[in-house]
Amino acid sequence: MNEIDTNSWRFLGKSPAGYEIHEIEPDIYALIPPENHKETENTARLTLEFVDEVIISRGRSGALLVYADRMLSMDGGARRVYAKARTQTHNCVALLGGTSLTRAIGSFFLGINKPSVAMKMTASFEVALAWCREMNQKNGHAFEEAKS
Amino acid sequence: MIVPVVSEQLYRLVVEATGMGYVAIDADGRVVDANREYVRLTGHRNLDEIRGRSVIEWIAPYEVEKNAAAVKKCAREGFIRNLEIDYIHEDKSIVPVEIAATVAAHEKSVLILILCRDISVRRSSEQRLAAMAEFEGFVEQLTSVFMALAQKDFSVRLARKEDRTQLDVLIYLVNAMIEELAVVFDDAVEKERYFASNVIESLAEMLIVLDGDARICRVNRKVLDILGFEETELIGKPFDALIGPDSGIFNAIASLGEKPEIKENAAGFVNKQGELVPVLISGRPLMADSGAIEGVVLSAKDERDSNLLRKLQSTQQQLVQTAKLTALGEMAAGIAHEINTPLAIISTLSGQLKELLDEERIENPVLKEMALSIESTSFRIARIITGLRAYSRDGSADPFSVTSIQTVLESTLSLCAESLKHHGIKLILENGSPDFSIECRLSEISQVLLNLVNNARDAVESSEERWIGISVKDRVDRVEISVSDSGRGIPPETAERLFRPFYTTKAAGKGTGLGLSISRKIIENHGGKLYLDAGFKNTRFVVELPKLHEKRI
Repeated sequence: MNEIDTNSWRFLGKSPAGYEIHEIEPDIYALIPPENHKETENTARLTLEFVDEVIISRGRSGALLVYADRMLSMDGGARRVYAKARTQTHNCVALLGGTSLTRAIGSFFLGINKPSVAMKMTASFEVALAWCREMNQKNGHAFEEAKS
Repeated sequence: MIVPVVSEQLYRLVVEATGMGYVAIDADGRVVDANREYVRLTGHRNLDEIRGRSVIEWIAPYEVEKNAAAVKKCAREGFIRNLEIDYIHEDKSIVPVEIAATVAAHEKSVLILILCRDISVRRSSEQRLAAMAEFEGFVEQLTSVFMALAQKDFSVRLARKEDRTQLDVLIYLVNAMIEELAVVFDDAVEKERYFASNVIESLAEMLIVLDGDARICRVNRKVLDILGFEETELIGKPFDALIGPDSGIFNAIASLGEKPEIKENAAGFVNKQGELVPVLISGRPLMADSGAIEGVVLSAKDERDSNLLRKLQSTQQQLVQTAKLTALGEMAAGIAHEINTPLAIISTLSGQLKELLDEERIENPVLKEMALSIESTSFRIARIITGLRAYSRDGSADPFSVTSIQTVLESTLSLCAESLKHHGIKLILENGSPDFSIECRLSEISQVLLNLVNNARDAVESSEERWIGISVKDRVDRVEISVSDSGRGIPPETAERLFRPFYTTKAAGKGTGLGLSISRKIIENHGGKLYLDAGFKNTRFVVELPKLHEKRI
């Protein structure tokens, strides 16, 4: 699998499930799963909690860019966790990946397990980044409680 | 070790004519010579591009170790055969080759002479065959999975190699779809179950489902509300626990094998208080998937407010009168005896009086005694007739009136005392002549006591020891009248059913079986209780009555 160049990004932490979160630019976050990661209901919950904590600490909602090619599988429990999540911290989720497996995993979120937050699947980093900026402009908001 | 001695021309001819790639390398693995085919295999234009270069440069990086091992083996054994190695073409494509190599000596140095065959086609065929075999395995697995899904088994999954090939992705998709199908199926089943349950509980009529053994396996809320039972008191019980011994409905159920349904069959449910609730029952068989009848679904309409109830009550009243008249009929011989005896006395006395008057031998004291005797005997007849009138009339609408307990007893005993004597049954009045009153309907209480005495008579008439005891006890605000007999007592299994309508232990044609259930109803309407004293050695029925009717209390 190709190495991801995170040199220009700011590393914000690693979740209990092994996900790394980096700030690509203000309010846009890269979420990098471990290589050949198998997402379950438990790891999905841990990841969501972790992402919420990190973004809340930043004071504003943001966009997530997920490196989905690194995933090997996602079970039904994980899909339902993401589909039913009612988080206020992210404005959108871009699934970045070009492999057949990534398209297969992502297809459920575009159909049966549609989440409440806007989602896009693309093989291009530039396309994903542009879309995240657009969604941030539309839906971005500050967390008043976090600020105070 | 081969030491060839050939001319350059012949050598060239041979190496170009082999049809395979040929390369001669030195001990360091550098190219000394090669034919055109070898140059082509490595993706170069001519020999000059590769002469002096190490063959490692175009061996695939992942094959380097394998190649090194092969070289060592060749050096050791002098040759190597059937070594498959991947070359990397100048265009970066992979060219699989099969190598045969031999060590040769040349001008005091050692050369390795290598022949390479391009096995791309063979490799491709092998891969295609492997893919086909893998796909066949997948199809077999998929067939098993579909068969399991058809049996609603959503736990099945296809085995994944997790190698991210197209087949692996397809397997992931199939497994994920099965997971989602299971959720949708469970949701749908749950929704359907909830809907069906909702419909059943919302029905305006009672719904009862019987299993193949005519046991209750499901009832709706309406049944519990109307009949006053808890669900646990009905589920698993036989249907005849709920319904009176009405053979009509059971015959109708039995006929469901031939007829498609039961239509508005009039019947009665017995509620928790033992009261009859008139219903109209309709029903259809419950069919299993196989087409066999596995139970019955009954719906019952509460008819308490309808004409049916009035008809039922009217019928019940007629049955009560019938029971009375039947009992009277049974007592007819006894009553005739009751009346004939005093009539015979009157006749004898009046005959004697006439003789004495004719012979002018009558004296005042004798005349007075005879007249008194005639008078008391006439009163006795009058009491019998009063008792008969009181008994035979329909007193259900009479007002409650204060009556002395003595009158109650006389009104009853006047109709049966002589008959008991005639059957050799000793009547024992245990408390002498009690002196207090109760507020009641005389005809109804008289009917109850007479019913108890008649039952006692029937129970002991063929026994060796024959007696009936009547006791009256003053319990301050109520009176306790018990009727006991010398019979063997009543078995527990019979005692439970004694007060059910139509239940009887008497022979067919004797009695209507209404007596105890109606007697209990009469006593309960008086605010009292009628029960069997289970602790008594023989048989004893006890009537408890309040002295004052509840409206006066």
